[in-house]
Amino acid sequence: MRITLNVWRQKNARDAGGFEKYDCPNVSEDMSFLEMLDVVNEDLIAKGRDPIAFDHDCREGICGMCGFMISGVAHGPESGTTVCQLHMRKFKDGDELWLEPWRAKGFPIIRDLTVDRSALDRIVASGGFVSVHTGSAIDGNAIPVPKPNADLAMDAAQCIGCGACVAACPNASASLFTSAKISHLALLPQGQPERDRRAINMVERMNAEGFGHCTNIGECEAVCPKEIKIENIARMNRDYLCASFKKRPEVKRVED
Amino acid sequence: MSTASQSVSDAGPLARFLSSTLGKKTVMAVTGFIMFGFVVGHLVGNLQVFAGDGGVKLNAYAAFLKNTPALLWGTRIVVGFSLIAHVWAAAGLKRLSNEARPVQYKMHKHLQSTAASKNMFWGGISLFFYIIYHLLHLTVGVASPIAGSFSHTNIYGNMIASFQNPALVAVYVFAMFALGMHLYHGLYSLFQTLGLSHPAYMPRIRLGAKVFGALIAIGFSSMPVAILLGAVK
Amino acid sequence: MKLDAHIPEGPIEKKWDTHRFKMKLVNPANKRKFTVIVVGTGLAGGAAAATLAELGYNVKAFCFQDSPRRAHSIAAQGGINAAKNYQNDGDSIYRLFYDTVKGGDYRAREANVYRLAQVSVNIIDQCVAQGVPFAREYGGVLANRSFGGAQVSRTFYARGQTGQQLLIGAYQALERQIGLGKVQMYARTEMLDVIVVDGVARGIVTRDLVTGKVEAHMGDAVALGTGGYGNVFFLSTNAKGSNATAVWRAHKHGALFGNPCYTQIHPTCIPVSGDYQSKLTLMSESLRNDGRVWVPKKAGDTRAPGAIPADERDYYLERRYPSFGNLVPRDVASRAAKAVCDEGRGVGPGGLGVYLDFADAIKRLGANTVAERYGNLFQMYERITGEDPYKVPMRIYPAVHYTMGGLWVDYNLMTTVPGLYAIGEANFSDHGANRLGASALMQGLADGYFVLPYTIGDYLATVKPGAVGLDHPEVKAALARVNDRTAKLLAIKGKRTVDSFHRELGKLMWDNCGMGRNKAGLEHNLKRIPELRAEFWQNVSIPGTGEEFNKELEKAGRVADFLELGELMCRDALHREESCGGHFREEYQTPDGEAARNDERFQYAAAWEWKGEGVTPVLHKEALNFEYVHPTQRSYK
Repeated sequence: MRITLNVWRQKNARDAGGFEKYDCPNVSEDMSFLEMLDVVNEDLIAKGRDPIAFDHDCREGICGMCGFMISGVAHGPESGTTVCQLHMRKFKDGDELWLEPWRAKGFPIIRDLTVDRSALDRIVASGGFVSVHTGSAIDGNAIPVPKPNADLAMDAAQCIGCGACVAACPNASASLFTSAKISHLALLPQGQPERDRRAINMVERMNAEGFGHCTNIGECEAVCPKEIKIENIARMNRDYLCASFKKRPEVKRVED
Repeated sequence: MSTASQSVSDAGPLARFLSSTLGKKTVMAVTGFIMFGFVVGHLVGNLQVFAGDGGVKLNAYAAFLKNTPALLWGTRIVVGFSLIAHVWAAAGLKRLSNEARPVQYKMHKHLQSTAASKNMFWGGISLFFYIIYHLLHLTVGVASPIAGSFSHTNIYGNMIASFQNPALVAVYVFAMFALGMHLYHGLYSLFQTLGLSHPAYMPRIRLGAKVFGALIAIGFSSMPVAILLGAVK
Repeated sequence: MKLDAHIPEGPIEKKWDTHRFKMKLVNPANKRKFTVIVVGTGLAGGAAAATLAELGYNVKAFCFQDSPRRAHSIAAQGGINAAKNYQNDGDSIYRLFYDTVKGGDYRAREANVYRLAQVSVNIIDQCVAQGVPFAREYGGVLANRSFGGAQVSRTFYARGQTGQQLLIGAYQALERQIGLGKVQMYARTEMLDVIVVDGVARGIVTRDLVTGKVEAHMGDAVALGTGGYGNVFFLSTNAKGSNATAVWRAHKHGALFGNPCYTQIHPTCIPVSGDYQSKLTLMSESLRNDGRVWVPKKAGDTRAPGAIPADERDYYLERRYPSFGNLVPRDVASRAAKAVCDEGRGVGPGGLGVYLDFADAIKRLGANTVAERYGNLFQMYERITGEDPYKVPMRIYPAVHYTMGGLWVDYNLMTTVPGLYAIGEANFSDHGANRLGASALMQGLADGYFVLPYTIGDYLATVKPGAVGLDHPEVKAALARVNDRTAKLLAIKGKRTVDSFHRELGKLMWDNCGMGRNKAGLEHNLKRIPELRAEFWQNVSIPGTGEEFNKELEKAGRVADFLELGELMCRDALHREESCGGHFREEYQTPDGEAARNDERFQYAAAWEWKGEGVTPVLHKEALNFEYVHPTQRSYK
């Protein structure tokens, strides 16, 4: 089948950027979307032009590296799927598609469809962990976890950190991402000692990174490749609220 | 050494809370809920226009409020403060979300959001201007169409006189439609914002928000429409 | 060069404890004077970086992805083994040790494997404490399953995403140390050389993949947790970015390469659909618990599977291995699939596939039960192929999955370059010639959390921190080497794309150094690969410059290394005139077609020494002694 692509090309963060049109006459329906782009790139290189830069790695939908907007939808039209697992049979012969990078202040563009998502790492670094040194753990079965809680925690922990939630949100909010990590740990006994600090630090880091606010409309949930639910955002809100009013000044740790 | 645990600023807890997006959202949820309560009371009081007694009950109710300044001014202060806080938080959040996406998409499709949720901001702005007009019109009595003939005691008469004008009725009905939509998403959303949600009862909360939004819109609209059609004289 | 594995004395169950006691310690107040460089942030690298930082060392961590959370450990599905014996079914450290040595076809080092089994129990505790949401029973305790044909249930899992959850656990620990300022993280940064001064590893040279900036980083020790080299084959289940550049550059600086020919082929992957294919997707081998594998009896039978009557189908695994049937180990299942496809009985486009049929399971268990067990895998299959496995049999074919070979390391995980360590899949140590299911995650985390943090201290206690500065001539030479190589690649401006070379290399490797290997094929490769390499250096086309985000340049550097490593793999495969585990030499098989080991001649680990471009590498041998698990012939009849 034949597909026409309009791809956002931007050489680097300072470049203004714009759309370029590519005609792809021989697309097989068994190709993945990224394999289709591979073919476009091979062709561009053969013509001595710069290939389209897009992030990707595992190509099996788990590493979270790939992702861009396909005609206005993060990761494209198939729900619960990253672009690497989206196959061309989901499109029709003659379709014209618009490929754009994730757009958010928190995700500066590196090149073409590639953006810098290190803000998400910094949100995790601000509190998305359990402070347990290697070797200090007690026996795994000494911490019983009710199965429903373990399952709910796993639902949230599945987040692959791709950034589609930010991309789809009209306010470029990172609430779904942040709340998935807060929920994952809040639902487990291991996460309790740091639950309040975690909620406050992660939410404030999320704000400081320049992401917008949540208007509870669910666009993030609709595009999430792991189908993470906005009930996690409610849990984050609750934790943040409770923690804010419970909080006492912390005794500062003396660093060595 | 600056560590993650100390990255939280040293401002007071309330200032920090209010400076965060979630703090502002909480302000919106709480003040929105207060105003919702006011709107329900306002509607119940005003529905006395349908008593069929030529406005005796309604005017008596208005006189009662006037003669109970603690209630009247207490409500006015709380609701007025809520409105200001609601608008303040909304403006702050709107500014943040504008900054959060400096370059817009060429194409951006919405998959899940309702019309109500997408129009919260512009709906809110419309309601804000509507409220100013409404106060000037039926509380202070300085706005057309009854600026000259406004009576501070005959509320019923003010309404009957005003709503003979089809254009004005249209404005009121449109505003109430906007209010209904705003309440629909706002009521649903406040449960999510305050973290009072649970997947098992969220569908019911959504339905309840829809019903309340519709009842308020229909209830308020019924008065000018009934007057225009001559059902209430 | 004499290979010394530094295996501690004493009975096997005491070796690690004795060794830990004898190791020198670094004074706690001095730890912050040392800098350790960790390359790669998967299970091994991420866990090591976090743990070393917790101990007080300064750590610089590097990954080529945009975040340390994306390392390919994330894609492991099945689970992680540990000798917890929570199921009371007779598991023990000794049994896990025994199974791993046997499963490795007696080509692993006993002392390392025993230690791996020992620390496996600590790994589970550590991961639970970090908040890894392992599957639970209703009583709140951890759930287990039996995996990969093991006789006990010792596999811990988190749905089908165990690797992801374990990696996120390590990533969270790492991010915590980044937040505390103990780890400096360099994402989108690729290591391009090791700095070796007077025979000792002192740092690395990196390229910032966004700006192209080439820089030297000095450290008192360097640990490579950069994964395996399965992408030599172009098509594999590895991530597109997985590469051998770090280990290969280390190899060129004197680190011996152990057992390069040991490659694991996974039997249940989705077959290739066309020339554009960019990678292969693995499906959990648990599918073989209920699916039946078959091909048509007649070669070239192109009828739809439903139109082939039962008596014209060959359920070849059940026929050849009546007692294990469809559950034979990975290598056996893979070779059997290749054999029937070689006979022209393969199915699907190109004839490279066999059916995995659930019709009988659906009849026996009902579609609902099958959906409960395999629903997500069926969905994944349908997403990729567009076929509904509830109605049409799945098509599967083997694919390269894991490489048991890697940098040769001693018991301390140190390579033959002092101060240079290799951990996880990047080293060769624990799996012998074949890795058991759910053991890769175990080994990566064992190395990262519980082995390297101890053994590296023993080395650091003997060196002066910061002994070599950025102004050392060796540093300048290393920077110049990297810059020259980049300039050379960009100056070629040829006609062929990087991927076209990679595909051609991959095909050579798959055809002649894949599931079945023989002398003629390997000799063909040893002739053809140097020719291809020469063409690459004359005719590769790389657009753009070195001072920008340039994915083609990144790929070109990696493929250039694969073109050398591929040759070494073939050389190793040619020299090993026996069949063992993942290495099947067609000339060396039992009369009924099974792998025939030759313990007398080849009971050793092959460690190859780089001697320069175009010079034949030198083979060193580490003899393997089996004091506890005595070699026997595997049989699955």
